[in-house]
Amino acid sequence: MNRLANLSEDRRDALQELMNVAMGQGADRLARLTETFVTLSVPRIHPVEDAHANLLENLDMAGQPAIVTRQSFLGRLRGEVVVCFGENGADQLAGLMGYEGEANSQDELMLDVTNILTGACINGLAQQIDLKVSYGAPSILSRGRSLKEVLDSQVLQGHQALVLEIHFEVATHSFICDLLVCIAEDTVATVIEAIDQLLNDI
Amino acid sequence: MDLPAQQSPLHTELESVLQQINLGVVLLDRDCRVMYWNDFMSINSGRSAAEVVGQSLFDLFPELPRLWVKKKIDSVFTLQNLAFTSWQQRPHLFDFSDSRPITGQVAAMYQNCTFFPVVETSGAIKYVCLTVADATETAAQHLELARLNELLQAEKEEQARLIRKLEEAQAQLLQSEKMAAIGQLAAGVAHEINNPVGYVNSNFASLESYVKDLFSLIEAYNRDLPSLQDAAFRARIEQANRELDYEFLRSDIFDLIRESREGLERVKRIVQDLRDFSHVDSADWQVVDLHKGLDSTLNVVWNEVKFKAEVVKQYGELPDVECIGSQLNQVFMNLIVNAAHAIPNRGTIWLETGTRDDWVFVRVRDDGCGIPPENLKRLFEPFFTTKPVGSGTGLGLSVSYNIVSKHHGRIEVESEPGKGTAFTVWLPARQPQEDR
Repeated sequence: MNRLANLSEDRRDALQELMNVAMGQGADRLARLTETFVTLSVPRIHPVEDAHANLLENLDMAGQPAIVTRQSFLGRLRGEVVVCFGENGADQLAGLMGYEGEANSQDELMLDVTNILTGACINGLAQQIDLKVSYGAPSILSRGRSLKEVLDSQVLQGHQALVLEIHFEVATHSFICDLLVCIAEDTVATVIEAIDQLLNDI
Repeated sequence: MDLPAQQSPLHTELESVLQQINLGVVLLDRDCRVMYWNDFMSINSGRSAAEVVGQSLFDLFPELPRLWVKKKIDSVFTLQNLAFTSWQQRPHLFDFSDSRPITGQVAAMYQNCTFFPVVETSGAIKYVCLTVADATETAAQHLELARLNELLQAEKEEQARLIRKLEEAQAQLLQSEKMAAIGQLAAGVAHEINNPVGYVNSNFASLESYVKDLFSLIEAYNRDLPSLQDAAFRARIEQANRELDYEFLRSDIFDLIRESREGLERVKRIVQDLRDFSHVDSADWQVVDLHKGLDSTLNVVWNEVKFKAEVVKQYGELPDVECIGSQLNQVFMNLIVNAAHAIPNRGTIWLETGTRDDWVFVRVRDDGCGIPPENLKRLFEPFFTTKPVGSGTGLGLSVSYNIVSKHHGRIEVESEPGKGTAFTVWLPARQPQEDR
């Protein structure tokens, strides 16, 4: 049975490459959107058995109080992306996202950023295998608790997880968040398929 | 609008579906000009498609947050991705009126909006489609639930607060009942002791004078002893005097009597202090000399204090104070015993009194271990204690606080860890009339 957590080294590299390409495209588009210089760090990926496992060791932010959002992606690739923001959310990006002068918009801004990052990440993955994905609206999962607490308190359906640490710098605005891509058990095969396809193409 | 030339048999039907669907559908081009506008939008905005198509969305709806909408639409074009708005964060993107005009309690339509790219067969994005879904029903229910939740939460907190208050009141009642019972007991014992001590004391007075007389008699005998003719008898008397150590006996017996009478005096004083302290005779408001109360309290707790501290009294001039003496003595007792407990080895307790304006103060100050700042604000909470389990109830100061409050006074604390603590009880000399 194919598991994300114990991929062969080749497949793991390919997955990393896949995400690099996806996030690279994301950064490029984001730069065009904001008309600024965007650095989206090469994401560090940690495939784990499920979102509970070994998360603390992998994520700096997992133990700190945070604002956590989520968004669904649906189709042959199905799951949810959980985004962990620091206590200030995405406030640094307010100006770039058209929120200048808008009061009480912290939540909406975070949901926008969640949407953009989820889109960049999942679209990148889906496009590699010519797959259609649709998205649900993002929402706030929790605030003031650490990602670990949030995940511990949730009943999570069968899934395998891919932890992506994304450091995101937009010109002078430095901003960091963590992405946790949880892929439903029954569509993990799709990801492996994408990896294998990429490996064949090389 | 120009729909693609490909003619499917369903084309017309699909167009009317789009036109009539219960969802706002708007197509926007890159410059935010309206390219399509369905019935839902016409009906709710009051502007027909003919009026709006070809016009900029911002000219049509100047109230829209232009910068933000533009960014939203740009992001769909650039990122080729969906974008969302939710009624929770942005309740009314378009200022449409409420969809429950009669039974609804909300003024405007709550909306969930989705922006998505309309991709042409070439892969390029020509339009952004904006759908506006009416979320008023959900929002209204959600808001109502949130309101109820808040109400319940507030009620819950209020109940918890009341329960806590009740527990505190009960504990304080128990403690003051206990203190009152102890006071009564002490007063009873004091009364019982008072009688025997009284007659022992008066007997001692008689005894002393009898012994004096007896010694005068013996002295008289002894004086005449040398003139006695019978040498053998004289020798026997002198022998007896020596054997009994008459000289010592004579000098010591008065010491014994004096010390015993002093002891009795002390018993009498302690008994009086106990009676004063518990004020059996006066559980009511009286005008009393606080110094007397302080002194008798100090005597009652002397055992707790004498090995720990030297007590320095710095009494000022005090007017008589209207108070319930037994209760104030309880306060002084708590403060003095606490001060003694705060002293680790040996130290000093200062009892200071004085007046400022119309206020009288009694200060109990020690050079003990002090109170950490984090404990200072909890001092008067019932059950708060830093003493080991079983040694303190944590009620002493909370009862004291209540007693002083009842006297329209206040207790102030100053403390520095390692340096010592001063508790100051401020009392008005006279109670306000209406609260008596």
